[in-house]
Order: sequence, then C-alpha cells, then structure tokens
Amino acid sequence: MIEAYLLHLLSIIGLYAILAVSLNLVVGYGGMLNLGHAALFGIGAYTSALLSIEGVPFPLSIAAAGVAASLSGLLLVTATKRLKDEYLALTTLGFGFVVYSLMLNLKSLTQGPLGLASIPKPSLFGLEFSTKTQFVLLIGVAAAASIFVMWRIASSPFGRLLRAVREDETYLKVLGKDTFKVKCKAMMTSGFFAGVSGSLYAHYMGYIDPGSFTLNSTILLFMIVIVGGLASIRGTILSTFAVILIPEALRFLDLPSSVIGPMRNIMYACILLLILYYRPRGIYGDVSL
Amino acid sequence: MDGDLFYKDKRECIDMKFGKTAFALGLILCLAFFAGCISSTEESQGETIKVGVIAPLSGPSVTSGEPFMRGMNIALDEINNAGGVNGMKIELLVEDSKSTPQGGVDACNNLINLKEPDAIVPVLSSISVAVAPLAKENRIPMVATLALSANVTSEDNDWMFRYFTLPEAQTMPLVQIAEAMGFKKVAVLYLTDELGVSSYEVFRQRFSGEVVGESFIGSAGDFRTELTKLKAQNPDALYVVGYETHSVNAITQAKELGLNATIFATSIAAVPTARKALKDAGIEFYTAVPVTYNEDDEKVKAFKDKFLGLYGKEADHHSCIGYDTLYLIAKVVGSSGHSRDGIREGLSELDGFEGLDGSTDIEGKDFLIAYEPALVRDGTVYYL
Repeated sequence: MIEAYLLHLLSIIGLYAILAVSLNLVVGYGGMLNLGHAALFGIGAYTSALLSIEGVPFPLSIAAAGVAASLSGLLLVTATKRLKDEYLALTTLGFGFVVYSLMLNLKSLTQGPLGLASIPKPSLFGLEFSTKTQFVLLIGVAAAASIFVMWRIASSPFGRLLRAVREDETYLKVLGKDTFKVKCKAMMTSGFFAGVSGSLYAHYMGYIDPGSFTLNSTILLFMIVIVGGLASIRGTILSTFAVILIPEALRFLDLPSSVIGPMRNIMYACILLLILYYRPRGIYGDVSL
Repeated sequence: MDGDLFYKDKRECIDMKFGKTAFALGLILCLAFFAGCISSTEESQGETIKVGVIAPLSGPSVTSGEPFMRGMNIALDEINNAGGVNGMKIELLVEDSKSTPQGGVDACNNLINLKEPDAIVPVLSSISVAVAPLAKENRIPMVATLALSANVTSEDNDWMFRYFTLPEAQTMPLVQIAEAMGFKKVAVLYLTDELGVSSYEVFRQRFSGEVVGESFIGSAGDFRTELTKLKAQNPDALYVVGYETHSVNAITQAKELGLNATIFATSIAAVPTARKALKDAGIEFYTAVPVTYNEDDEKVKAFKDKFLGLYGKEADHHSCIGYDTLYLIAKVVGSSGHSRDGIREGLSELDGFEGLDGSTDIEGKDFLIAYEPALVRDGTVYYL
C-alpha cells in the first residue's frame, strides 16, 4: 500500500513541477513578477473540467485548457504592457483576484463555491486513466515532455533574449528588439503549460473549487521557484520534490492533534528558511529576485 | 579574463560541493520519508479500531476543526475508559487537511495507504467531496461531517455517509420566523462560500416576501458599504451568513449604522465567544441551532462541564458534533463489527441515533441533525 501513497505523491510532484517550471520561465528567465500564475492554473483546470463534463474528449479538453490559459496570459501581458517590477506584481495579483471572483460568482457555469465535482477520468486512445499507476504514467509523461520543451525554449536563442529582457530591457530596445513580443511569447508559453497542469490536476483530483486557485497557491509556487533558484530548471524540479515531500515527511511526527497543524507549519517554514539561509539564491539559482 | 576563469572555476567547485551536499540532504530526506512510511505501516498492526480523521487543523477553518477534535477526544477517552467497543479500544489517526481539498486528498491517501484505518471522518464540505471518490475506490467507509454540500453523498457511492445537516434545514426555521412575524422584506448579507450561497438561495426561493442580498468575501472585516446599501432597502430583517468574526462584525456594524431590523444569524453566531461579543454590544438575534445549547439536558451539561474542565473553554456545537460522530461510529462497530464492510453495512442499516445533538433524521446516507429555531438574548439561547 506504500506504493499507492508514493504514486499519489509522485503525481502531485509532476503536476507542480510543470506549474513551477512554467512560472520560472516568466519570473526567473523573463524577470516578470507574475503573481497571477495560480489563476492561469485555475483557468486551465476549469476549462478542461467543464468541457469534459460536457462530454468533450480528454485530448481536446487538455488542449483547450492550454490554449485558454495561454490566451489569458496574452491578455495579462497586454494589459500590463507599460508596467514592471512592483507595479506589474500588483496588477497580476489583481488579475488573480478577478479570476477568483469570476470562478466564485459565475455560478451557472462554475457552480460557484460548491465547486465542480465528478470530473471524468481522462481517456486517451480508448485507454482510461483511472488507477494511480496509470495517472502517474500520464502525469510523468506530460511533465517530462512539458519540462523538456520549456528547457529547450530556455536554452534557445529566444531564451537568451528573454534573459536579456530581464537584465536590461532598455538596452534591447535601443538595439531594435521588440521586447513586448518576447514577453508575450514567454507569458503565452508559461500560460499554456500552467493550463495543461491545471487540466491534469482537475482530472486527477476529480473535484475543483475556487479556493484551490488563490493567492495561497501562488505563494506555494513562488516558494518552489525561489527555493529552487530563479532561472534554474533543475533547481525548480529538485525544489518541487523538497517542498511537496517535507510536509508529507512531517506527517509521521507523532504529535497531539491540538498542535499538529501549527507545529508542522512552523517546522516546514524553518526548513525552508534554513535552505535559503545557506543558499540565498536558491538551490541552483543564478540571479536575485 | 583570468579573473573570470578563476571565478568560473571557483563557482563550479562550489556547485560541485553543493551538489554533493544537496544529494546527501536529499538522500537523508528520502530515507527519513521511507523510514516514516515503513514504521507507520508497522505501527498499524494491532487489535484496535482505527478511525482516521481528516480535520482542518490549520488554515482558515481551524476555528471549526479545533473544537471538533476536542469533542472527539472526549468521546474517545469515555469509550476507551469504559472498555472500548466489543473489548477493543478505539485509536484516532488524525491528519491535517490544511482546510484545502488537495490537503484533504493528500491526508486521505496517507491514511488509507499507510495507516489502514477501519473508517475515516472527513471534516468540511470541500474536503469531503474531494475524498468521496477515494472512499469508493478503496472500499473504506467514511462519515463526513460539518459538510453541507449536496455532492458529499451520492447514490452511486455506497461508502460515503454524512452526519450533519443540509443548508435548507439551517435556514428554513428562520424563513418560518420571518413568515410568522409578517415580514415583507428580508436583507441577506452572505459570505461567498457554500454555506453563504446556499443559505441565500434557500431564503430567496422559500420566503414569500422580497429578499435582497449582498455578498462578501472571506477576508472581509468591514461590512459598512454592503450594510449601507441594504439599509437603503429598508428591510424588516437582516440575515447574516458567515463565520464567527463576520457575524459579530456585521451585526455590530449594522447596529452602528442604525439598521433597525430584526437580526437573523446562522448557528455559528451562537458559539459562546460570538454570543458574548453580541451580548456586550446589547444585541439579540434569532438563529437555528442543534439542541446542544439546552442547559436542562443532563447529558449535554455533563459533556460541557467536562469540556470546560479539560480545556478551560465553553464547548460549542462543533465540539458536540465531534463527540457524537465518534459515538455514532462506535455504535455501528458495536453492532456490525469493525471490518470496513461491516461498518458500511452497519451505517446503511442504522435506524436511529441519538447524541448530544438530539435524534437524527436518516435520509439515505445522510444522518441529519435537527436545527431548532432559537432566540439569543443576553448571551443565552432560548429555544422557541
């Protein structure tokens, strides 16, 4: 039975690895402080869940989830064209709140705070993914493919251009580069993979509600990216393992129920602070936030 | 140039060194994790009745989770001190859901796969709905509680039960009071969560007069804007639906603004701390609560005295529900054995249960606590 538990954790790690690497693409490589990433994740989850409930096949649902989140990313970057640093952060944070409010209030579509239940299990080429082993394979393949694509993008000339935007946008503009276009492409790619991750999350959990895509989720994602190191994909992957597994390992501490919640949270925070104390730029980070 | 090379070499050296340290730390983490997994499985070999609990012990719903667990722990001590059930002690396996569906699913997977409980009690709606498929998939009986959602139990899931109430049962007594008082217009100020939205909908659909509504989000503390808008509608009654701090703040602010309407509130406003705050503000209100605030009931009184003695706080109805939930499971185990199939069959065949919350109505897989209309005046609950 340990296997089933470990398979569940591996699935969660896979989902968060896609999500965190996609966030690192814009925050770490592009230097855009996007605090609305959980909203893109939520848009993907809701798009895929709603389409699947209506009987749309899983491959189309997951593709639609990616496209919907990608277009939302484009909308976000267009709306924040003239903003950077803390102003960009605040606006993207606002975007997250707007999306959360829509999920909560478009009751005829999203069921509001009741959430969407009974999301069908995915099926691909006649094979239904219903067991934990099947899910871990699906998520594992999706995570490997997504991360490989993002790694290739980050290592490509486009990736170097993206890093240059982070370092000195004005200099690039002087050279005649269209930095807005670079940002659009980065945000759309990041949104696409966040949407794919959201789709897999919705089908794996079988239930989603607006509370799963709030600022708390964004904070968790930023924690993964910062602990792993900005602009480092291997660091983000390692950090995903650490951030997901540490609280699970703390479940084995035998504590009375009155202190379980706060004590585990304190210990979790202390471990992460210790990592950042010894590695201020994250495990494999190259740049400061 | 040389300096750059030197710096690069030095960095590579540091990275290699750190790589080894990270690898060692990762290895230790993995070993500790697997050791935890194995020891946890070994611990599960014993002759006890294992009841898993997935409670909100951190996050926004901790105010419900904490009194719930305290009530459950009192029931645990009572049952075990009396010799257990069929000669076997009950063991509680408590996991924190962090008040989130994913936290609940993580906790549930941990419980099912490593600790192998005989039954599980998920607490809160969103967590119960999220773990319901796991009950069916793993053929483990679950008794959801503090869970209002209609999606918690379903016809195609024979393993999920509920011990609580439905939004309609909480709101209908207040609708009846409004009708009896001849009110024409009721204003509803509600939290945009499951309880809030459901309560507003019930009032809107079942009240014969006019219903006007304003919603707020969980982090809200200042309700003056919404209340001013509602005051302009000149309602006969104001129904506030939210958690404890929302209820207390909104009701006191309504009075500050001179909204002279009869106050209705959910059962959460009847918890001792909220009652005291509203009493200090000189406010009385109507609510619907289980019979657990009936001071004449000896059993309830004994429980509350014990609770006060142990925790130095007055018990609320969440504590009583925690207490009753464990007794419900103990009753079923007593009659049908502690195998998972036995507990499921026992729950399916249960024809009645009476706890601190009074007798329950059984509708399919739902064991429903009755909510009685009450007036809270000077901090005391008077059942109507």
